[in-house]
Amino acid sequence: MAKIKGLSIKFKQSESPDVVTNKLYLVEMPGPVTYESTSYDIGNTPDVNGMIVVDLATIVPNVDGIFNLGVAAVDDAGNESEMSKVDNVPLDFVAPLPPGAIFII
Amino acid sequence: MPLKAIVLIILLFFSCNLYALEGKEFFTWYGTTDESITVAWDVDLLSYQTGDIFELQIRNTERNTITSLGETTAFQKTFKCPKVGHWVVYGRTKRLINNVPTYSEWANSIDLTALVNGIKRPWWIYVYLKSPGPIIIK
Repeated sequence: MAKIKGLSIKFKQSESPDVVTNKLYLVEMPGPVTYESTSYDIGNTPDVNGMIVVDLATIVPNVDGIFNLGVAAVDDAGNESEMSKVDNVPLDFVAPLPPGAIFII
Repeated sequence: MPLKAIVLIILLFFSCNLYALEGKEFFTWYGTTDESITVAWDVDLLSYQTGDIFELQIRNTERNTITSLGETTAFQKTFKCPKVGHWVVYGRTKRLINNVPTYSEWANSIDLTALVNGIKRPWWIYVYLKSPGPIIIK
């Protein structure tokens, strides 16, 4: 089984008290990330510093490309905050094909 | 003499938009659910008595919910709206007569008597979620 090098993002959780989860939006370049982009529920469990850390390799395995990302806070009614965004993020969670068979010479 | 309704005034908030609906102009004050809002009220001085109590509520128009802001003898109240959406502020005067509470009519902030910067103009509050912090790639 191949070994995939992970990549994480982190962000400070929204200060709004009624946030129940966060959404990660992702679109391959050059598309702008919008609320219509593919989204993933990434929860709302911050670390001791109030940062939410997301391992992208577990959220979007097997992607390889350059992506624009956005995160939005979500309340219990499904309302979403404005997004925090970052563009031009290279994601490569696809391992290369293995070398050929080893011959002892 | 019946208790007179109070006049609700928006004091401190972030930004506003003038909004027209059905020929009526009113202000939308907007910010995020973690930010504080201060409202004040005018009373009819001929009706007011020391010790009168003011009862405040905010009502969410989308969820059709009522959130009590409690009672105070002060003339202003600072609070946070607990949920996303449009909120209308309601207030009324309460007076204890022989320990029996007597109430004025409810006043609300979308009534034509409400004040913005000293001008009679209905207003409401729109709050939304604060966005997360910037994304940091580790």
